[in-house]
Amino acid sequence: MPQLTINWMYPDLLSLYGDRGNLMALHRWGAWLGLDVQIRRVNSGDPIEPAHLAVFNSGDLDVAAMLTSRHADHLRAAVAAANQTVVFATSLALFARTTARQSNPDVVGLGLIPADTQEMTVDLTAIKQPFGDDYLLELAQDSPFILAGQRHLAGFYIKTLAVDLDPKVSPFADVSYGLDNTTLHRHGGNDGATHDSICWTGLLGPALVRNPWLTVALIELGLADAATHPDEGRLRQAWSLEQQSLAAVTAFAEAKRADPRSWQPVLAR
Amino acid sequence: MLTITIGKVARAVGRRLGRGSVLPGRIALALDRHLLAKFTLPAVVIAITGSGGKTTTSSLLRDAASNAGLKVVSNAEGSNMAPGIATALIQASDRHGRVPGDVAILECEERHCQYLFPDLRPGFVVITNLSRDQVARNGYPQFVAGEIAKALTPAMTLLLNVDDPLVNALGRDGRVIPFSVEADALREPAGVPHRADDSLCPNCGLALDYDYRIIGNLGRYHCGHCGYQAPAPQHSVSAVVGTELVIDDDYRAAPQIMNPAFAYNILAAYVGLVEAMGVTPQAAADGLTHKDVKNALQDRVMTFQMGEHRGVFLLSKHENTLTYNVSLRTIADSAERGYTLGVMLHRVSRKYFAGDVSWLWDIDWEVLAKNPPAKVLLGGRFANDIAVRLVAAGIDQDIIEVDLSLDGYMDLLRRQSQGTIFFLTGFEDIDQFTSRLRKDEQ
Repeated sequence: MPQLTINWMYPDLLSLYGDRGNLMALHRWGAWLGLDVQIRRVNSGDPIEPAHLAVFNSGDLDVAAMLTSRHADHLRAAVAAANQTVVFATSLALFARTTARQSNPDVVGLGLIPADTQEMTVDLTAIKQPFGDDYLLELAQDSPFILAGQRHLAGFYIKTLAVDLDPKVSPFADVSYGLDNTTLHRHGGNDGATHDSICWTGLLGPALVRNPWLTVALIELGLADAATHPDEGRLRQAWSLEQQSLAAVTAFAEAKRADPRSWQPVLAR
Repeated sequence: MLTITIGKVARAVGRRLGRGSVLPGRIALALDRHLLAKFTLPAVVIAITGSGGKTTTSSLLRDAASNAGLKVVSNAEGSNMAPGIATALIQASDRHGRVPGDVAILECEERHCQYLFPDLRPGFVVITNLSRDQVARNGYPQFVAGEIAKALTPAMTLLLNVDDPLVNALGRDGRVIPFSVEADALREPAGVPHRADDSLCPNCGLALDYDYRIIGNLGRYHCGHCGYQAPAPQHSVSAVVGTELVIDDDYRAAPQIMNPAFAYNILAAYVGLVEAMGVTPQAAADGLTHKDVKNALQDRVMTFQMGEHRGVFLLSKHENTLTYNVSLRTIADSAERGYTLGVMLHRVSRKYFAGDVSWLWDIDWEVLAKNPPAKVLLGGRFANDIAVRLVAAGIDQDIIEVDLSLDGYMDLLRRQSQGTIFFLTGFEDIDQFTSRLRKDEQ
């Protein structure tokens, strides 16, 4: 049975709101594809073995600062050892050049994604809406992350970082609903980045659970030549629950966009 | 004082309009932003805050303090932010703003403590726990801890659940009274998988080691890197004997239900009674026994009838892992074989309009493997997301049925249930469910 090897990076440190679901999804869909899925928990200092995929879930920015200052070589080795690296939400700070903090020293990242980021100001008396929301994305037509024609992704974000990508960096997807990378555009602009073997998205939590088409696409990219392209008809049948979920959340978000007054301020004192 | 009079008029009008719980406070605060500072409060002011257990702890404290003969003022009816507290104080005060009574027990929303405490000046602050809760508005627990820290001053006595590493870290300044649940019988079974971000050392950011966990991130921990750990507790639940919690080795309180979350609530109330109100330990424990505590659980655990099926309703809180985990442990431990699990998730939040379901993946649905349901019936807009999560937890997809509409879901429960229905949902969805249940009964 062909193997799928996954390095789950810093599981004890990078795990916000449902992130472990991403590993469950990779395991589930890898097994569905008939692969022997090996998920290795790699903590700081552990030896790094070659892998098809490396997964960095999201974490607190203080943790990012600690990792980049103490374990930069380990981080670089993890990326070098994986065919495809996937990075979620705030863990961009590990791989961007710098993340300017509000009241802490800046995080100096590895610079493997040419971008600079800034921690968002959170003024509870000023903002009139939560800083998280539903997030709907659409992959570009030529995106390598499209599988079986599935271009739409659903999820959630907490807008912690404002991100400026260098012009040479490709975004991961277009934003249909939610705030974009720069936080300047609502329901427009771009999400995430892809650069060399790294892809980063602002989708939080169990992004790979809600979007199994992305999960399988990542597995295929990670396996590269060894991939056996799955039967698309069988795939569509297998992810029917997730398709229904996508339809429900898309309708929900569209209704909100159509009537912005339905937003209820939560932080009014 | 004119503002308070206007507030009293607004309350009288509001009650007639059915909007008496926050509207008077909102109007009065619009006239005077620092209205809360204008009241003359009772000598003892105790604030209760944290991610979970605020309402139950406040309710227990209120009832037990009354049982001990104290005259209590609280914001039991209103919200736990400024308008709700202002409304409660407007109601309780005379026109000069004097609030009679021995003690004010004020439940405070955790991120709003920084705005409430400078005016309310509580002498005692109970902090229950800080767990993942409402991602869209709270971000992550460390952020909430930082918001609470802004509200604390050395003049306050902090009654801290030091089993929570983040709560313990809030006790760096001022007088601290640490409390802890240590009883063997309440410890979490081995092998429950955990998310990690709430188990990081607040001091150095590295992973904490746990000797044991009571539930979630609450337990006995230490940091192998910097030595961070909780102090020895001043008060503790040291054992469980029969249906009673043994507190401080010598005193017994019989909770309405025996589970770890409720043990923490009982203990927090006990510490508040003893340390803030001067109630004797024996009287505090006696006052917290179920015979004398009226309200703490009246809406949390209920039974209902759905056609020929008996239903047990376990009210949780969407977006809050801890409350769901407690409910699931109750089901896994107590449901008879062949039961139906019902879960409804339609409105994730009452306070904002967003559809985050990531928290479903932090809940330990895997405990159901110990006692799997015969049927799973899921309802609401996000029912498919629960289905995906349950399949990942090992539940057979063939026993799961889904209906997104309320009408369809009620029908599904009526037609497809087997055995007793254990029904889980949050505060956010309960009104729709129960009103429909009542309508169907008529």
